[in-house]
Amino acid sequence: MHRYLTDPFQEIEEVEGGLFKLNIGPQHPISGQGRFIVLTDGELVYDIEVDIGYSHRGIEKILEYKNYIQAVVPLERMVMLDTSNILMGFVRAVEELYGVEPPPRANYIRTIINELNRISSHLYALGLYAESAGWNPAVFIWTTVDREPILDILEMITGARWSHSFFIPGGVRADLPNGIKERILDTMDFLERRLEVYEDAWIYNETFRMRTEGVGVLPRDKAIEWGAAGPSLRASGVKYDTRLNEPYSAYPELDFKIVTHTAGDAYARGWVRFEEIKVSIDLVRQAIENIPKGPVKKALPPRPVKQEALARAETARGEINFYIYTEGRDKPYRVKISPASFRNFFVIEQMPKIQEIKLADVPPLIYSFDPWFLDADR
Amino acid sequence: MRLKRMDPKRLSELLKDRFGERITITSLEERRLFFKVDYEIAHDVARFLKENGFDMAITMGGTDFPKRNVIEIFYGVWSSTHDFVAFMKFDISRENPRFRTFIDIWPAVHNYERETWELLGVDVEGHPRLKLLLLPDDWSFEEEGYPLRKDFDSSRYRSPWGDET
Amino acid sequence: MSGSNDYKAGLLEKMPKTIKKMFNWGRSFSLWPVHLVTGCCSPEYMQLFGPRYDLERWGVLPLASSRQSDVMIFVGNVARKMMIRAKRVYEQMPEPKWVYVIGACASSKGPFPESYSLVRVKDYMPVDMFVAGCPPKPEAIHYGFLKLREKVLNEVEEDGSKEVVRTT
Repeated sequence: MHRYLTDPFQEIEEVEGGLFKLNIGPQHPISGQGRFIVLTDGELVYDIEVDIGYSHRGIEKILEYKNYIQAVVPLERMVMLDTSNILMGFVRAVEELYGVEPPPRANYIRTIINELNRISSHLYALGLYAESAGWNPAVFIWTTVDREPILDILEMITGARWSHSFFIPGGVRADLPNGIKERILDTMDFLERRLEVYEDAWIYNETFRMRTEGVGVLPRDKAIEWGAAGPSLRASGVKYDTRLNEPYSAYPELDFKIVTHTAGDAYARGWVRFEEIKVSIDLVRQAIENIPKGPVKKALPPRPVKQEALARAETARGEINFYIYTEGRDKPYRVKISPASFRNFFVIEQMPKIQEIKLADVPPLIYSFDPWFLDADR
Repeated sequence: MRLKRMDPKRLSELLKDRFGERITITSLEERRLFFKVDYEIAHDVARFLKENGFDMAITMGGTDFPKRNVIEIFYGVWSSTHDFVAFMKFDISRENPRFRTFIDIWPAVHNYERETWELLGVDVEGHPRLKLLLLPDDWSFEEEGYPLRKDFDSSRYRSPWGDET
Repeated sequence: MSGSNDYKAGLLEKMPKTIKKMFNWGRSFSLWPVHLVTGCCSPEYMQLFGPRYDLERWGVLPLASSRQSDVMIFVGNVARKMMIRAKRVYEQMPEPKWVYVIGACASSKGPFPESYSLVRVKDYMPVDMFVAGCPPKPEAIHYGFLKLREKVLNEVEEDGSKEVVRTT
């Protein structure tokens, strides 16, 4: 078997032809830990190699020792920003194995928490994206401000700001507290006013467009062939969103549209995320107005009815899917997690093959895909 | 050539007509088709799926079954025209696990096959870059083994509690 | 306590104690951390620099370069692959330096005790302050910083007898 060790301290290496390999990372000023090795001559970039694994925890192996309720705690720490969307995939797969449908009130509560997490995660991603394109760190601090009211609501409902552990197979853990509806509607009004500030200062700003338009164009057929995910897929014109193609929770009863763009460049990817925040605000308002009454959880039967299940859910970064194989016991036999960032990293590696990239454009290119190293490493 | 939209039942009929006895359909659901093939025809089935519109690979991995003495490899592929997932599985032997790569059919499985190589110890023939992806640089397969196999011992990595050092 | 191996006594060592205390007072109001964000506690760390839990009023400026920083903060779980590089960043920092560990994962692997790839920070380098939590609330991290400032201000010998003012 072949095995090549990567040299931990490879910094610059000269390659013939006047080119050299430059090491970006693994300690970044912006986010996460991951290494990009670019082959460049100082101006143009000919090859990018992505080196991940700096936050690997081995979650797939750990889940073989936990039962389905205990598995919620390590699993949601995969991406701390939108924990509930990742849990949706796992919980849906377990519910399919046991043949259980959660009650309607639980579906609406899940939708509200999912969309709040999606807004929070998109704001964070847009802040990092702006920071990489030069707005350092003003826009990022604005997004810090805007996330605080959302985290307050989540703390009132679930008890924790980020790591809720609120979804279990069969429903949610507890009901909504009193007075939460007015609080949610006030926060949504506040966020809409803040979005107008972003539009003026940043998204429709000439400097930002000059910096990011035309950078990293991903054509539609290549996006499907290389397996892009999430807003990166939708910015290239593919109409795929798990919330509409395979509806779950309360999405079949709510009214919304997928946001797509045709250009496929870095600006389009940021624009799609920004518009999705507006869609999410609308979804939260609809869900909290029409929430039905009833119980919030249902018990699982003692034996599963199926042996294997594949479930998909839409996180802020793209679609995550879970494949669970069980032999009838209370612990799963094998859980395979396929996160969205893992596929987006492959797309980043292939970008220099189809177009010319300058060295100064590498940070906006990378952060327009919203890669989260913890997500890819599991 | 535009493809006509089909549902999982139609796909299972097409597969049975073309490949007959060497395919077993394990589960047919509203948007999923789980089936198992022999390893010898796995690449032909993959090409057939690609021609019929299954273009985006969404998951790939392996499961270790020591009792049956096999490792089961699976590929999950989504189609942008038909909008459902075909899930193909095949068995390879556990003593000498190897299979030929599928990256010429679905390029997106490049990193997934690397991960299967390092975590399960399966040799992927024809893969251009079999380097360590997720495991640490000083991981030694002879001493520590392959993490996702069932005979891997996790208890020696368990950190001590409380005041033990 | 981190100390260098080939330490030469400089001008500062011969100064009286009050001058040394003044230097330490200045240092405590300007602790610049080097940014090593490896785990899921990172969004909580980012919220610290927002307007609600403003940490910059204590003089803490998050800097990317390790050559100009005083404190090394480990935020979240540290994998074995990252630890070699983290140690190198630690060696690049000039003296005096402190290490501050945030979160349950970096102290003792947290919710992943059976993981084959995580390590504990205190097995590899000397640590000055731990904050527990998963993730710890920003108020807790803030409190840890204030306690670290007290440690920077005064150093006392192990048996509590003599007060030592550390300069390097």
